[in-house]
Amino acid sequence: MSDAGAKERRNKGIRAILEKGFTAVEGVLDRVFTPRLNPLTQLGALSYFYFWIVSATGIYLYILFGTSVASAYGSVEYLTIQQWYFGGVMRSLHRYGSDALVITMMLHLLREYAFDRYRGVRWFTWFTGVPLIWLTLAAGISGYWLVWDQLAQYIATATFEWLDWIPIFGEPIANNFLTRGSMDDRFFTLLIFLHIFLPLMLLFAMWIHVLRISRPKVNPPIGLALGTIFMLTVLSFFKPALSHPPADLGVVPELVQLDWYYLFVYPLIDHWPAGIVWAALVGFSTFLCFMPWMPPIKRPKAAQVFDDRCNGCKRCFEDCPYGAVIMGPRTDGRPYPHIAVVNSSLCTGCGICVGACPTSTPFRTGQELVTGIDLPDRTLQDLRTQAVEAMNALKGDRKIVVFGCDHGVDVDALQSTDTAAIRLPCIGMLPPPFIDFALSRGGIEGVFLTGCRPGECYQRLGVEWTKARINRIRDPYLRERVPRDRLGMFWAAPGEVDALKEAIKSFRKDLKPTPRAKGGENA
Amino acid sequence: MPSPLQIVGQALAYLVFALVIGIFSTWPGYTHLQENLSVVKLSVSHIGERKGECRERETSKVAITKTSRRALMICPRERYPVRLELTLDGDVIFDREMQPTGLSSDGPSYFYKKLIIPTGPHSLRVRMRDSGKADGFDYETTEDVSLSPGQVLAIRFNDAEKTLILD
Repeated sequence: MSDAGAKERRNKGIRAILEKGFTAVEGVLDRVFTPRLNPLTQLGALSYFYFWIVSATGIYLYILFGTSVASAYGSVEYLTIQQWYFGGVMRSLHRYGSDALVITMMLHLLREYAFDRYRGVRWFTWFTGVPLIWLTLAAGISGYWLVWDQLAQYIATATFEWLDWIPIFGEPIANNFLTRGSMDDRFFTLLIFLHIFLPLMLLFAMWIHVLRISRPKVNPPIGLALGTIFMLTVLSFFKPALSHPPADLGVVPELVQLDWYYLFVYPLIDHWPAGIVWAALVGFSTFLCFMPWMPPIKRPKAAQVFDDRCNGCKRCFEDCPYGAVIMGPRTDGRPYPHIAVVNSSLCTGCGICVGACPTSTPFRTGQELVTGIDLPDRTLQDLRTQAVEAMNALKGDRKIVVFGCDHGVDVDALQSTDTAAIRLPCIGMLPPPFIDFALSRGGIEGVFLTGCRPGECYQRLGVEWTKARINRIRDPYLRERVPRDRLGMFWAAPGEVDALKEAIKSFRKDLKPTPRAKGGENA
Repeated sequence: MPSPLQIVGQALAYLVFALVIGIFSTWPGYTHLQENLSVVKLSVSHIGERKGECRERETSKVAITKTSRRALMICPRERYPVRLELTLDGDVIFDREMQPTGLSSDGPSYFYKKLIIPTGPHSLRVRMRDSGKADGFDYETTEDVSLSPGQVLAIRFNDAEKTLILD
């Protein structure tokens, strides 16, 4: 990526404040939970998990639910009181799982905004996330109707009075809540249907939401899942979800205990004209939908496949975090059935595919470095040239080269007489042979890799793939001959400059000078 | 295996999350209606009078029409708008005219209005006009009511009995 592109992605204003806030809290939670179980890096997966909790408990509640106006309240009371140790806990889990879903969903939205992960090719995921908010809230609100207590009466009446503002329904729907006896079983069945239909629509929209993401995280790690369900169960015991008194359409309830995660809009409906509330909600949703283009991100050129070098090994296809590389049929007569094809509309130019390509080897220095897949804005040839020049210019007996990324700590600031700093769009772009090359041909003592913190990788999988390649669990492997004590790694958020410097200092201190580098000159 | 400090930290994090969920799932309570107020809901769905007179079809034309369509009268579809007025203790608190719905203006006129009024005794007068006359109303009901806190008083039109009712 160009310098301009990298600078553009450095957050400013509110986003920068939010980013700093998230980074600080995530740093603490990394230590408390370990990076793998950090709940803030699993917000999307947790939201899915809460959806499943709510669905499972909802099925049980529905089995015992009285589906008529007369029996609904009594059946919920039976579940809550007579069947407390199962039904009551299930009801509370249903309630609190729904609340947790709203919290994680909104935090997820805020975090993706804070880390600028909603523009460019990510527009689709952001855009399709906005209806999820509406569907989640609508599904939750429709659930509150079914208890048919005073809260249900209040929010059902207010909802339909608000909906009646749209002049498409003919006779006002709110007439169903006019007086005692206005509500009949037929209309109540419609409310029940809505509470089943809306979650199903939500599930469908959740599937669309992750459609363009390769390897979406839709299940939290087991430790986190168990922890969160235990927390909800304990909460259910300490503060069981209870009903208000039964609904009575002849009397308007004065005080209601709103679930503010779902019902925050009702005081607005009470105090603002319906049209204004509609305008506010539709306007805010529209604003959210179009945020990815306000302003649009400057996208680097998409990765380019070099047919004569591509042997169709599928590593780029398997490693691309955005599903931008697909394998197409080969037509150039070479003896491989497939060839990589880049969908430029999905490519972020992260270069992870370049790092995955087995032909991305810098050792043939006498010839131009052409690999199977490369970035037009940051070619592997340029990377090798920059690395060689930077390493040749180093002095000292513990020379190191630091490979960093555009989204972690800005490594340009680390450049010094004994440190070469090379920035990549993502650390996942670095092919493992480059580490071997730098240590065996660069006349340096150490290679240091840095990038985004685990779970925070801007390009989603760059850090994970890099670690897997180095640990020889994912192709292309780092060769065994590479001395691991000369390779350092530290994953840091953009603000953690001092921590990175400290890690590099410690790494350098432990490095032993290589015989050929004695005297401070490169071989 | 997490260290004891990590276990304490995780318990604390879960506790904070549980508190955030638990507290705001019911608190603070919301006072939807002050205790000295009551509600009047005006809900009327009514079709106004036809704008024109019906006339009899000529017998010869009826004879050549399909049996299922042999209407003896031809009536214009368009209806008059309906006007509804509510007076509370001598003050007009609602006065609106609603156009008939439908592409041919032949559907009902709909009213739905929720009015918050003080609790206690009141004199209510409801008047409705559904004809084309320039002044006056076609239906009128006056009633003295005593509303308790939070009570809902519904005002409707009974089409069968052609009366405005308060219940």
